[in-house]
Amino acid sequence: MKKGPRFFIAIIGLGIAFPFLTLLLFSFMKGWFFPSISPTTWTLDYWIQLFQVEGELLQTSLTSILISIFVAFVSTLLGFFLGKWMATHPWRKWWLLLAYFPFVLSPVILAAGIQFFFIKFGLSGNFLGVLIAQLLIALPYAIIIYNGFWSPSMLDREKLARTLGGTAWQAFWRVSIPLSSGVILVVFFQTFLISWFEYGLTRLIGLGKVKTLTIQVFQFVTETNIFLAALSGVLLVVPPLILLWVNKRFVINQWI
Amino acid sequence: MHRILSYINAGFFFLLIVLPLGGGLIYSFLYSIGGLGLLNEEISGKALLTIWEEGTFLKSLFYSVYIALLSIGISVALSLTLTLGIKLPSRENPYWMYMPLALPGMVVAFLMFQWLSRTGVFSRVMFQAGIISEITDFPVLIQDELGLGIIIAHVLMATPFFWIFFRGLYQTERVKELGGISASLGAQKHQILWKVKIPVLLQQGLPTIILYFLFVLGSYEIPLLLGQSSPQMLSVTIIRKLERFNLLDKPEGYAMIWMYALIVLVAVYAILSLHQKRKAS
Repeated sequence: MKKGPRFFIAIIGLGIAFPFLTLLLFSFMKGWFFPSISPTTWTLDYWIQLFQVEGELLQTSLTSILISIFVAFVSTLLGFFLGKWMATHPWRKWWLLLAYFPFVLSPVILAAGIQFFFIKFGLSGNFLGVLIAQLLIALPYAIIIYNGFWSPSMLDREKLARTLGGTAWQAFWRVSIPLSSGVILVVFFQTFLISWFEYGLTRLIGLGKVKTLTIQVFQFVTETNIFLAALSGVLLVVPPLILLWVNKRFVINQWI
Repeated sequence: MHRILSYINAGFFFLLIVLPLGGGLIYSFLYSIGGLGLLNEEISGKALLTIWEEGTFLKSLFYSVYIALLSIGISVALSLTLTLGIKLPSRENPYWMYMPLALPGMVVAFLMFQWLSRTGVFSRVMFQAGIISEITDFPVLIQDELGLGIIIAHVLMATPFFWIFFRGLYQTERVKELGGISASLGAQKHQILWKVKIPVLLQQGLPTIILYFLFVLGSYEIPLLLGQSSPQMLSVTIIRKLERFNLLDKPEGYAMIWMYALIVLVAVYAILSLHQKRKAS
């Protein structure tokens, strides 16, 4: 490679690393007063607090992981069948429009519209309510991805298995599932990330009582506790980094 | 059996997508015209009239459109420059290109605060380097009138996404080969760039660009942390109206919800129609 592009790539690489380095460094800092660039002390205190069993941040991380895994699992499963149903339905275009809508509308505005019903059914300010609310934005996204996957040629392969004497179950289990394992993985990871990154909808439906990591970051920022906010930020970016690493070949290039 | 399964699927779709969406919008509409709500006594267009006279909705809408247009415009320009200007060693995207996608809006907003505020990292570096002598010499980039902090945050989030996206399109649309054909037909370098490569990438990427525009239009946490108190972006304005102690503001908030939903609905319909027309042709 020529020297010019290598220099630009190095600059871009540094730019990409900068946010992660900032978060990491801030999570070890204590006392940071203008105009000094470095803190008064470097500390491991916040990280030690994190790994204490009764630590709030650890519990928040577990809550976030639980919510995101549940939302991703249900969206992936339901979306698989709903996407296929939609792809074969004569009103496909209209269903697709409806599926796009909650996702594009802005989750927080959707939450503002449905908040009344959540209060009415006792789902406001609790874990179950947040799960259902997040499902309302993750599921449409899953359906949209699956809808692209269930192309006529894909559906024809299932039909071919039936024509060759396979039962409906065999066509589903031996043809559709193996062929769709890639897209299932993509949908799981993407819906996990949607839930993991969600703030506005979670705050409105959870009323701040269901603490996820994004809620925690916002709370620390408003309390001007920037070092704990940075630590929460580190916790917030690590799972997506791992997921992106695992799933690099499937994400973006093929499905956007 | 097939019919039963179809009904079950339709039931789930209705329950989890149509009902919450429809219910929320109908509730918002009824609340805004006085059909629901503790303090609403009669059906009227008072809330609509108020937001029209005060210009709250339009001000927020224009401000949001301004932020979204500038953010997406800059991101698309930057990512096109990166796609067409930098040749990576491999056709496959390296892992580091995906890393910025792991940053949620909340974290980006937090980082902007730490970098760009008057007591932030850049201000301190400039002070230590002797470029500024006082804290007030550093420009206001956070919670500023022009929404620069919000725009920079969105650009930082959108540019890596569009870079990966355009690189994908560059390969699937065979842009390099199209450029080669144009060159063999006598086109010059700048003509290939401006009349072949950029138009192909923009045209094929238009539905995704519009979708991302809508995401920025409805973004919440970034303008919540980095925006000034007035004007605010739509999502922030709506939530503030609904959460105020003054219950009389609520109908206005709900009116803004269904009005914004109507705009988004039209936009999504246009994107889908555009996409399907392209597919058909």
